[in-house]
Amino acid sequence: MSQLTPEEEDEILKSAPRGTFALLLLLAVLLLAGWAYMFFFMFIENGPVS
Amino acid sequence: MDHTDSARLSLISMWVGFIAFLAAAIMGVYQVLERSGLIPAIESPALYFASVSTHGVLMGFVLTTFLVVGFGYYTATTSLKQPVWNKPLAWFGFYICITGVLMAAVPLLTGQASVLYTFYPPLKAHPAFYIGATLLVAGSWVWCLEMVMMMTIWKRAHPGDTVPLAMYGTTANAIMWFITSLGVTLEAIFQLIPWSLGLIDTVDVGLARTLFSWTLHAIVYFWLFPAYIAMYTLLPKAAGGKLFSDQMGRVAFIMLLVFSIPIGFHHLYMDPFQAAGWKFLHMIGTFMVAVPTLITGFTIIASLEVAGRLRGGKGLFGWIAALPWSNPMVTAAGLGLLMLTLGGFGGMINASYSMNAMVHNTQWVTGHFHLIFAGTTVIMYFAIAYYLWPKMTGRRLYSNTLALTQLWLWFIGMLVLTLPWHYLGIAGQPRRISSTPYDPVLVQQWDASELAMIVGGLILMISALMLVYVLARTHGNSQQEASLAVEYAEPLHPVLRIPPLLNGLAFWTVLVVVYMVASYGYPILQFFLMETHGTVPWSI
Repeated sequence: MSQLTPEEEDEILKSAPRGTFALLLLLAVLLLAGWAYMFFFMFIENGPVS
Repeated sequence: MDHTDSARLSLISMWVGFIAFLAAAIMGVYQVLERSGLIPAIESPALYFASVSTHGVLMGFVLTTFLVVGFGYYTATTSLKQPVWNKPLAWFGFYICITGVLMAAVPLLTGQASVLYTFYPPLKAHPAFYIGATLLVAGSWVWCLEMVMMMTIWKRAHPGDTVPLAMYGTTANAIMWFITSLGVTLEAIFQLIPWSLGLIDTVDVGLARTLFSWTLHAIVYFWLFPAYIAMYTLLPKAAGGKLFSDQMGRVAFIMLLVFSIPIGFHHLYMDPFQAAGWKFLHMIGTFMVAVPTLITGFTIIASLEVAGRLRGGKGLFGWIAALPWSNPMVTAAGLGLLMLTLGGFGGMINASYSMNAMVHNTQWVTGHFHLIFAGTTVIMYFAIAYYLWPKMTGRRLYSNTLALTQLWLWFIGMLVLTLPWHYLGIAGQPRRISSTPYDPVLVQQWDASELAMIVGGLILMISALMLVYVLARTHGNSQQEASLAVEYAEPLHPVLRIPPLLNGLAFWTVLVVVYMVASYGYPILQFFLMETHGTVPWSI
């Protein structure tokens, strides 16, 4: 367990969760890219029902 | 206050759930072995479908209902600091549920209810299965009433105070479950039970499937709610931090209540008796219900980030390594969120109206729901048990190391089991089959995935045995638990005042009823207005 000063602790509690934003942005990009891959390269590429 | 009265009810309920879970996990190993076709001696379609049906009922209806009920009672008494309302009634509900389970077990185990744990005619089960399942639901309604009453009584005694978030979520789940379980109950009472008893010759399959879809999707959120409640109210404290936002949790619970029920037609995309326009509307609702999950993902990860930074984590992602991964709650939540992301990706494909045709009724779907349910939801049930068992028994957890190993094995086993299923689904393998008597060249390409499926199933069974072992040994642990108090997480910003709409559920309940009438009213009414070619839409 890290020993933080009260000022450091206060700063953490007040700061924006930038790591969370970055992580979720990364996940969103991956999910959208995955969905696009499935749609354009797996679904559309199968062609119409014959 | 003393919580021993609720602890006993909760403990027994949760034990019933976990015993059902263990039996189902063992059946799962038989199923993957049989389905692979590698051991001809055990191949039996009749036994396979009886086992799959029992596995599904035990996991999807018994484990979940008893876990939700048990966790709900303990959450209510510990967060509100008041006893169970009308305790004899609570026990009556529990015994109704037990009666229902025992009644349904007989036809399931004797192969007379091999309907794949669904309520989809023309598959027909023995009436005892439908009556038993209806009793299980009716027993759970007692719990719904208990939760609503306990929150109401608390609010009257504490005018102007904010309902604890854990109880707010639990009550939202109780209301949601009551509304959503009405669909399958109506189907059972007016269609399936009279039909299986021979009182009527036919049922309208379209109406039956529409009514089941009313229940079918939101039931997933009934299962998932305790996982989210634990993530919001227990995890931040266990990680050494605070909840990023109490209000975000309330908004997520409200959205789950409102959006999760009227979207069941995404289970009927390929069925002919509902028009494409209705299915499209339900598809939009389906994507809406992803929003509370995104809110939850953000709030929980942000709470973990605060905890990690308070523990000395630096940089953009350094806080992840600083989290107390030796705590089962933290490990389960981390692994659960990973599986939720993977399962959520699969869900996006299922929910897309056009792309659903590519994966519909394939093994992809089995992989998806195992990741979301058996992955995210059930791993959080384990975390809840590991957290609550010491509180409820007064004994320290038997082995933290075994608990952590069990969680990791569950995660690994689930990925080994389900990722090949996604591949098999894309490759065209149907779900709900006991063997693969297709083109040998095609089937040969599936062999590696089938082997992986067996390995995954075995890992999961070992993990299930470890869970039950750790919980059982905790009862006999000579070391006393230091604190029996459930430590709910404090929000980062204390909730001083909260809008009434975020502190009550009456308005949202009315809203969901209106939304239900709009999205299911005509689709159900049409069966009574149109020519049904001799079938009886409503038997009584």
